[in-house]
Amino acid sequence: MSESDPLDPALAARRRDTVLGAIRRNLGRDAAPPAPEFPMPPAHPRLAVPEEDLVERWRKRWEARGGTSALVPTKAAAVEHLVAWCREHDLPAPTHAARPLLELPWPADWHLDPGPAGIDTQSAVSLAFAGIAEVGTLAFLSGPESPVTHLFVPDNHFILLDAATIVRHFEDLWQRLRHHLAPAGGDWRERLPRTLNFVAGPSRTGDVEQTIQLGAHGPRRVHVVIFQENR
Amino acid sequence: MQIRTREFIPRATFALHDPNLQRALAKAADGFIGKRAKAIAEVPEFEALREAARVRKDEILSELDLWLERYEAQVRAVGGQVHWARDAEDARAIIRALCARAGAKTVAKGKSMVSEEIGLNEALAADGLEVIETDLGEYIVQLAKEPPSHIIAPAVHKTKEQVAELFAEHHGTTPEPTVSGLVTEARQQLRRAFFRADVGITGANFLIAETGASVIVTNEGNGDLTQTLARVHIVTAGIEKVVPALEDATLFLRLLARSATGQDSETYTTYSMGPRRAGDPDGPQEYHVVLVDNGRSRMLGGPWREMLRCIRCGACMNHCPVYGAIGGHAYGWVYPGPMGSVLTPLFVGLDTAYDLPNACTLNGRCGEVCPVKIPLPELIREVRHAQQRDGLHPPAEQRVKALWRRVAERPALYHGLERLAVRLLATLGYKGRIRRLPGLSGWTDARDLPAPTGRTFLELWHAKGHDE
Repeated sequence: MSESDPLDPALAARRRDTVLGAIRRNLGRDAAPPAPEFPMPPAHPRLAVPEEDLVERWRKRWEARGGTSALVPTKAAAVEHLVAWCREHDLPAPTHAARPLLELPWPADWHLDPGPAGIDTQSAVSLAFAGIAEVGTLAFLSGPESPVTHLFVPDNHFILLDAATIVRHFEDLWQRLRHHLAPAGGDWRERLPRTLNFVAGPSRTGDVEQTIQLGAHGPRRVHVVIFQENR
Repeated sequence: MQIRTREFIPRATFALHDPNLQRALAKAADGFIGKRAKAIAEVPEFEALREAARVRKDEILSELDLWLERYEAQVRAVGGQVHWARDAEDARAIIRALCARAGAKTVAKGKSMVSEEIGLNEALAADGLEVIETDLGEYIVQLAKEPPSHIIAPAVHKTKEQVAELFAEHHGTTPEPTVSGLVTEARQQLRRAFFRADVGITGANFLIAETGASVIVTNEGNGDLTQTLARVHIVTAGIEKVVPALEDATLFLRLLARSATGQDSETYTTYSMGPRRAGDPDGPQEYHVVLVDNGRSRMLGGPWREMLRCIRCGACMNHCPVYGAIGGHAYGWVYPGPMGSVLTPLFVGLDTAYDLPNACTLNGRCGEVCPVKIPLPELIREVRHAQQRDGLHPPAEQRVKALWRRVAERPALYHGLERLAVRLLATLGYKGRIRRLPGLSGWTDARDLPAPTGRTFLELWHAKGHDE
């Protein structure tokens, strides 16, 4: 590669040295001191979440931002609920779903595709990794079993949430994530998914005259069905 | 982005006489201030969070090189690439080359202040690329060929009628001039752009050394469609964005949404860690991060280091009476309001951006609301000192200040002139107010001055029997 190629490795290395050198000079040190060991997670102030019932707290916060939710006893009941919900609100049946959900007793005329959502996808069903009661949001890990496009492309997004996965604070989620990625020990950072997505309700914008409007680019309607069989 | 900071006074004057803008600014200020106050009232820990954020960010900045190296190593470990840009030119060259290598025709963009700072859109357009801003506000100002006027609400100055006209002109449609009609219209247009784009460029609110993640927060979901549907995801980020651990990102995110839009969380918060993994059904095949210095490393060395704590929430401008009167365009570059009054002179020159810090009234509200406790009024005063040291203040102002100093250093002369002045001003008052002052109508047109009683404070003090 020639010197004039902006992606030339030698040039890239020089740019890196220049920037790091400038930082060190301005911090008043000559060379890099030995890299410190990674500190244990720092303990920062948390927000008080006094509620005993995290499901209630989660729902209150979630619904304050325009999302809807329902509480059912089992996953099978969640399916029944969704079928009724779509009928009641005159919504199109989902065409896409996360792979682990395909085994549920869906109606025979619901054909659910575990692949990525396309430009015409109207409706999808996802399974959340966790709920965070602090602000009423949901966490999703991307992967073969949970396409990211399902979260952002459809007009209608349905989400199944296991009540047992609702944590109090984000700090609790980080602990759970580290354990989930390396349950038998080892470096959890070697198993990171491409994305960790938090969804806190329907897509919204206030960019026209500061007036909140739902459904800017992502889903207009987001409905969460919380099942409690593992609680 | 073109630097128009020298036009501050004419642009501010123009803004003051634009009724649409004045209406929009009044509405926006009320909305932002009220929502933030309400969100913070619900969080008794807010002050503790601010203090923790200040301390943590200072710790990180004092070891910035180490955290950046850690971050870079982890991005590589998850399959991404880090590119270091010394300045705007480097950053543009790297991104242009990445787009060329990808054979890109269309580039979708999420909101990024750094990309405005490096003038990215103009450079990509010059290469013949179709560049589409996907944040609704950014899209509107892009169609209008204007820069953003607010970092959180870029099109805050546009009315819905003006937006409808822009859409009609560019889309060849006749959207209903209602908020919902316009949002639907933009959704349909931009949806096609997301699926067409070869490269998706987003900014980063934070970079996390521990996981190699770039974090973005949006309410629309545009940043996510941008990065998920394109073949190549490029992140542009200032070097000051890095934090060590997931828990640190949480600390700053607790402050960001409440300070920016008055929500406890924005709708979408996304941690992106490299390209699509084996077996993933979607996501980009390449993941690049362009780390931009562009003057930031220099800021580490002086009194400006505190400015690098900034998390770009916009609370300072929402609470600034000067911004509230003239809007963002008057500031003439990427960063408006109090943050811009510090950053812009440092980026583009103390001389070129002369008027920005000098338009400040030093009322202090920006410093009071800053979630990371940046002492903005002190830094603005520091910029003025630097301008004074460089001899940039206008000669007339220098002469007035020199004269003032000569008088102030001579107490007898000072008190004599003071006695004269209060007696003169007392004769100009009517019912205790001065409504007009010769030659100072710019001041008195908008407000009355309380008229002095005719005696100085010292005279009154002595009259009450106090000693010198």
